[in-house]
Amino acid sequence: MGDETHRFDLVEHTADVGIRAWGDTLEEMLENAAAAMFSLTADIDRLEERAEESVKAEADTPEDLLVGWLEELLYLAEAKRLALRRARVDMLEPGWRVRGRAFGCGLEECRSVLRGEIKGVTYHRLELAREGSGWRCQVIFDV
Amino acid sequence: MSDIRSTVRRKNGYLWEIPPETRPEMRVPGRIFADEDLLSAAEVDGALEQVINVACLPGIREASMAMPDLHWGYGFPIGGVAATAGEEAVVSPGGVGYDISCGVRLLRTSLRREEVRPLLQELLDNLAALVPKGLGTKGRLAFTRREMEELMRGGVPALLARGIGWEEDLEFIEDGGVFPGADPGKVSERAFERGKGQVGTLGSGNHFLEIQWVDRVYAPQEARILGLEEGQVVVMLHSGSRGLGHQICTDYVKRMAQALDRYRIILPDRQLACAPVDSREGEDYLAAMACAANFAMANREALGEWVREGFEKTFRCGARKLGLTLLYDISHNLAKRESHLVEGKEEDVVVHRKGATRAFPGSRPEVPEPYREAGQPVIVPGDMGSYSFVMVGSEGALRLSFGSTCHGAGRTMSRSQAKKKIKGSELKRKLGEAGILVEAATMAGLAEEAPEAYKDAEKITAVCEGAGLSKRVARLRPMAVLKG
Repeated sequence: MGDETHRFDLVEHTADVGIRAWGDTLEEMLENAAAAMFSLTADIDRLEERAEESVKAEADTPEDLLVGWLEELLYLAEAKRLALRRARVDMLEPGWRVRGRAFGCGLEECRSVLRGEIKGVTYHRLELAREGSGWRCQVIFDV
Repeated sequence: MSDIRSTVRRKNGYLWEIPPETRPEMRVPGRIFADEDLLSAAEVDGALEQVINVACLPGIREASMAMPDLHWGYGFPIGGVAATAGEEAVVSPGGVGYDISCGVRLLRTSLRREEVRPLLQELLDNLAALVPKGLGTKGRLAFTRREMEELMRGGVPALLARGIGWEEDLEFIEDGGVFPGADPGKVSERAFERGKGQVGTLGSGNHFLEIQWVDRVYAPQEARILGLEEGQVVVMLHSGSRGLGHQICTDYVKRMAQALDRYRIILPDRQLACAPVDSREGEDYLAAMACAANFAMANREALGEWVREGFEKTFRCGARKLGLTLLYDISHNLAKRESHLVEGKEEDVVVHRKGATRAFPGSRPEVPEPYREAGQPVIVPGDMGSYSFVMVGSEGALRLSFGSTCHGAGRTMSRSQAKKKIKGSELKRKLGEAGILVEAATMAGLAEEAPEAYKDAEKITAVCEGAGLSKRVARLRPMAVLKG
């Protein structure tokens, strides 16, 4: 995966840390938001993809879907003891349902590229909006 | 945010008020304990708006309060205190935070600074080998589902039953090491999954373990009662409920956000999601939160055991002989049922302290008997380059802040700003030159926690004292730092 697909940046917040992500489609924005989150937990450019997990999320609104998707990935990483570097949306269905896959590496195999833990995905200053023909979002994490 | 600043009125030296007329949704005023500088910092960073938002919570009593280490959080400000009571009273998981029962523990030693200095590097190496730190480190203890349930229900005594920790520690842990009302049935499978391997792990972010020495005593009588004297080496550690608490908060913020309409609760910020204390959601959250509090206290008890092991290995002498007794263990992220005087009448309230520490005077039965003459110890970690403090609670806190005071220095610089300004490796070298040894899980993580990123704990604690919330007993200086 080239870095050109990871369209995101980090947001300044006194105690916590936020991300902004963009995408031409909602699917792509979800993928980029995931990559942004992963970049907080590890140096994703130096992380290999040796493991794959499937991921599902469902919500009533697109904002909730974004939070739910990130929470799901966070849980998956901790429960399966993985450092994730990329997530792919395979299907986005009406009613805000998403199915996808996450790729990364077992924690024990990549200790040297790990960064910090994320405790939670907050609703604080959560933004999700259309921008031009694409999508943009902002999420603040408790770290 | 300048519109907020213009409404803030100085009540007296260190107390500022945002009148309830500032916003129609405010039920009580906002009250901030600060000096001019700290208030200005809070204004710039958006924390004052969060003080106002909390003032809109149903059932809130007296005021939405902020301690001097106030800074911008999510939902509640960090340093926020809110007590709710009566029929409308709500409990808000966001008013506790993701790291439920995150807290600090302070261990004494009978060692002097000069005795530790020659073996400091060896001690730090031994501790680094014994204490799992950083992202995804495995704990040294394995728990089955049933054992986890016992731990969540039983707290520190359940850990003692496994032969870890000291019986005599219990008296000096908030709530005796068991938070009442825990029900593991209210904890999701996911929360259990995230937490099960993490008992006795430090975590990352601002979590740490420090070897410190008492460099100044402010209140000799209180210091004597707490067993502190100048030149003495102590150990401070900061950690919480790890993945278990994080997932419990995640689960219940979601569940309460979905129930807001049902309870006709309208909020300015979704992160404040709450439910009536006596509703199904409220009761379930408090029962799950109690599980996380028990887990957090047991986690710190296990970490304390690793500290004792590290000293034993280094000094080739038993921990009891080295005087590694527990001074106190207290949380700064909790919602607790307490009884307080509200407008002259005793009332049962739920006090949310998010980045704030309970600070009871010796007259309260919750304070360990040996400390009654001094007051409840308040442990205030500062930054790794300068000072931390031991304070004691006061009658003033009961009168002014539902028995609460500050919890730390409070950040002034964002993590990414800190990383841009400061290199971890350079910081490590600089601290080394100042005689402070550092071991960190990652260099970037170290930079994020650089001393410059924090407000001055000296100032924060002076304001707490000036405001009458808590009294300074001793100042502690770091000698060696283990960063999560």
